[in-house]
Amino acid sequence: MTSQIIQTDRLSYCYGDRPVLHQVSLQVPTGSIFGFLGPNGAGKTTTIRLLLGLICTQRGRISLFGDQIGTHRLPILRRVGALFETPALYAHLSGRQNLEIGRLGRNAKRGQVDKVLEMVGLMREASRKVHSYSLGMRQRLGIALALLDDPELLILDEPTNGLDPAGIREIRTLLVALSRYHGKTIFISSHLLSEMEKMLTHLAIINAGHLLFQGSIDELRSDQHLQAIGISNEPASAIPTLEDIFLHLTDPLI
Amino acid sequence: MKSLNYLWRGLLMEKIKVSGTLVLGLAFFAPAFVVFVAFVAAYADGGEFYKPGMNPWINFSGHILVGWALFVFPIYVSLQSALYAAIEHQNRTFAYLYSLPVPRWSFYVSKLLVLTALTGLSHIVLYGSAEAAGWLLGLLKPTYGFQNHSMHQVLSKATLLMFFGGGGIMVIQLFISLQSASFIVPAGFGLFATMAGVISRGFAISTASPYLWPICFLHNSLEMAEWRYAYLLISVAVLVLGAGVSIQLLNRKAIV
Repeated sequence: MTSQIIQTDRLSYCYGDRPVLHQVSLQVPTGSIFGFLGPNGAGKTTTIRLLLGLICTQRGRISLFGDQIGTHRLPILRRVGALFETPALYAHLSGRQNLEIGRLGRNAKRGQVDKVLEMVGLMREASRKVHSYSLGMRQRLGIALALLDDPELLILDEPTNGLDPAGIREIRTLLVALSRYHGKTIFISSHLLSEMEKMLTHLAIINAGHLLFQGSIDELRSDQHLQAIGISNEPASAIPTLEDIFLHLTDPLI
Repeated sequence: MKSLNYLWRGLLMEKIKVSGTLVLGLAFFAPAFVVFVAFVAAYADGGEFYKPGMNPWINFSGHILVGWALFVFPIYVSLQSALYAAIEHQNRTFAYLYSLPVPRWSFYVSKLLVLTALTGLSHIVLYGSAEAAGWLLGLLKPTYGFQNHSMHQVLSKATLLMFFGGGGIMVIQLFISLQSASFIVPAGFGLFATMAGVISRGFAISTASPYLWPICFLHNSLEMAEWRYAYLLISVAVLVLGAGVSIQLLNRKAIV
């Protein structure tokens, strides 16, 4: 097994004349909860779409599980579950029918639908139409879709978007459990820094398409790194939060 | 074998997606509408057309077949494909679908097969309801003479063959519907292409329009008093070629 489940090498992407990513080289360790953090428009969603082969690489290389996405798309996607910013759900169908569509797409066993419904706590609402679901329930159903067929890697784009604090905590607990007890690697993009801080093991910070930092949470907070970017952690009681460091890295006025 | 498995799973997915939508209802409504209008008109004013000794089925079937082939069939396919593709566009599901471990072509081919099946179903409904309407006229208006004549073979064959004439319309409309997130674009295109065909009908150039091939087939066959298959063959060829081109273009499409 490769120790890096996702690797990108000098990945660049432009929409027309507008560059969105500049030589982004990511290394996502297997088994990590990897936060991909950045402000809106930083290039997070574009990176995710490139990772999933939804858009073609223009420059640079992407490999997942050691294979190139361009040439091994289907074998790679069999091992990946994805959730998009707004969960892609058929609102006129029930939660169970949505999962059945995903199950057929992944060629998963029938029992998988009940298993993932149980995991995300939607068993009782499974036969309700999705248009009657709350946003939190939709997000949970989206995660259930991503969990079908037990993928090794979850790629989640803003999974806590629009959720209330209780919903956010619910999703966080679920993701931590998936990593800790089910051995999943979770690649998660978000701009909710305080929330991310509570669950990440590793992270990358991106702004305007440039990768500003990547490493473990401890490396981000190390004296050496803080000094390098000009943040003081004196007195010791004033340990900078992820938000402090993030804003320092991404806001040119600070 | 693997390809068939992808296709079969794609079809099962489509079956779930269309449940509870208007897609199936439209396949019944559109042909039933044409027959209903012909039935009401015949019931109200049939006395002018259906004289003793004449086969009333000829006139009655003609109204239905021409009305269907010239106007309703192309408009129906345009609406049906737009409605069908809107299931994905409205729910923004393309990114999810294309992140599944399934080749992209299988989604397209499944959709084309479902659209073809729905169109086929509407032709069966057209034939069945035309027969039923004629039978009902025979009961309600015995003076018209529907009960004394029949046209089963011609009516069934014309309806079935006309379905093949719609291959070009189906492949064009499905491609536009999948490409455009707006319902108006494919529906509007189909409507205006149908009207352009009607306006230019009679000029040689109009026969180049796939939207007129069903009526061209019907017209040719009636004029020559034998079945003429040229437009049907062209239409099926365009369906196959168009599907190949659509797969290539949709494969390259960036999902942003």
